[in-house]
Amino acid sequence: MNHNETLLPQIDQLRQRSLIVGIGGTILLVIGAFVSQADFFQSYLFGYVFWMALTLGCLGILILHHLVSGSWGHVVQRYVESGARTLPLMALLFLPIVLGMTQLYPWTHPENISATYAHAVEKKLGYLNTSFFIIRQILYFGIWIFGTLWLTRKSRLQDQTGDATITRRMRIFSGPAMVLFILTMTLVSVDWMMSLEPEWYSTMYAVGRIVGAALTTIAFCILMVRWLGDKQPLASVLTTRHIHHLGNLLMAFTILWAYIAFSEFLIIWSGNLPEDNMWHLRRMGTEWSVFAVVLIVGHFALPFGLLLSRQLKRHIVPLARIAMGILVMRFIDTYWLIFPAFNNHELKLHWLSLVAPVAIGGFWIWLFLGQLKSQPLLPLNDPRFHNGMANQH
Amino acid sequence: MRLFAKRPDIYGLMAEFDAPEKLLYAAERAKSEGYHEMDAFTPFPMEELTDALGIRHTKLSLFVLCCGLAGMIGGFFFQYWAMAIDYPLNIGGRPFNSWPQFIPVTFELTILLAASGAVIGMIFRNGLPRPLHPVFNVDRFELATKDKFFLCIEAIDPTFEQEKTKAFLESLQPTYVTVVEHVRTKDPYHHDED
Repeated sequence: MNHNETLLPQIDQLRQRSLIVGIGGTILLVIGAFVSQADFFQSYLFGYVFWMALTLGCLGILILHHLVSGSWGHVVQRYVESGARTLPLMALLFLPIVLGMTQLYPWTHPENISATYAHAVEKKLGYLNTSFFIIRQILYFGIWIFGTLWLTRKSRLQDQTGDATITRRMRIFSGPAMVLFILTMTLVSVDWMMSLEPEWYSTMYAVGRIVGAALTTIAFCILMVRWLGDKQPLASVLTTRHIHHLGNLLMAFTILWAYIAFSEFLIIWSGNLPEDNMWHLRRMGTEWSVFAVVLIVGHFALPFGLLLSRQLKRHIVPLARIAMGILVMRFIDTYWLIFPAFNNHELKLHWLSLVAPVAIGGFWIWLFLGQLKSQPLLPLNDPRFHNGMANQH
Repeated sequence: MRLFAKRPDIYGLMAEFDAPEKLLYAAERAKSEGYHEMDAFTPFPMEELTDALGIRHTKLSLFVLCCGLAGMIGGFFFQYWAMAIDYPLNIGGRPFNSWPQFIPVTFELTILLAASGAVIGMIFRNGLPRPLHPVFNVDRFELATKDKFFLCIEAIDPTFEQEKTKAFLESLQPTYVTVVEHVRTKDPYHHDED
């Protein structure tokens, strides 16, 4: 039940390849850093934010699962646990951003900000300054790593002891954890991404990033179920209902993403005030509008139309294809959020912006799979779910 | 065309079972015998019956989709016509076709028509309103809300032949097999099988 012996060599092989990709990508990144420092830091931030959305999404879905106990959460629990347990590595990988901070964030040099926006940025400097920025990052990672280790260790303890009271303690922990998670996610969205354009703000911005992270994670979980769903031990537990639940969640978060992205745009568009509208003007009034059109079609209209079909949501093969498409769109969306901050007018694609996410992703998957294989692929003694799950009535 | 076909003399035959497994088995057997026009009645929902009875997925969703699309297209283009063609108004220098502003109403009309279509379509496709269904002419049928499980094969089914179908149902270990009349004619305290 615990382990599938034929699976381990597959995981090990994939881990090895990921590590090679990670190391190869790092070498290219170092070369790129010598060629153009600015491009390196921008691309690195992009790659980091993309993978961090998945990591934090995993933590959020884990907390959510302990709160609501859906049966879909049971089958993906070990994926999101392993994903969240990459946080110590991700904390280490944050260091290049600290090094590049002065090149990435305009508020580190308030004297260079154009006169038009200086007034707006000046008032924010009490929050946006280098020392407070670093203190906040330490706090965020401290909170996230503590929450992840607490929840995942308790779950492993339950695997060994079978103590049913652990489930209740994890649930009680998850209430405040969810509040802290949303708060830190809100702040970190402002810190890492929104403050790239410190003259602008939107209260909807962080919600969009949180929903994006959740969507990335659900799509990732569907791909994992596609890979491991027909292999033991998951094969004996997985039913069409689980796949249907995951399909519904994918659809719900796709709609939510579109809803938030559009309402943010609509409100700013209706107001049409110069202190609000520059963010969208940079992304929709320039060559970058190509991205906007691609996102409307590929991130919303197409997956939404397909996911209306019940049949499609109940079969893992077509569902996984849609999930793959969603992940590509998450990639494009993250690109569109970040790069227009650096290149206001023309669309710019740099080879490093492809290398950075691949390099970070190599290490991420390497560590993720290592965490995944170090424990049973399904929680063993969770009283809410018997691993047979025979009694549905 | 069923509308013009001769109405069979009886509504159908109903078998009563005392366990859900027996009903499930009976439904599967009936499906493999080629019966289509049948229904099962149970005191609690049994998801497995959908497959066992061979019930095809409802076409209602297609109807709802069409309603939703009609709401979407109609909602958007009515606003477009009003704001950009029939009575163009300059509002704060925005374009006449200020499509982002049209989206909320377009969305609401999509939902309104789709939801109304779903409710009304569901009622009509279920043959409602219908004050009395022939299955209530079987007295023991009230036990379907307590602890008995019923399978009714309708006489309009092409495979239906009263004697053969009756013999088939009796081979499935029912507690009773009863004729379902269109209109209650017999003494309510009388059973065919007694």
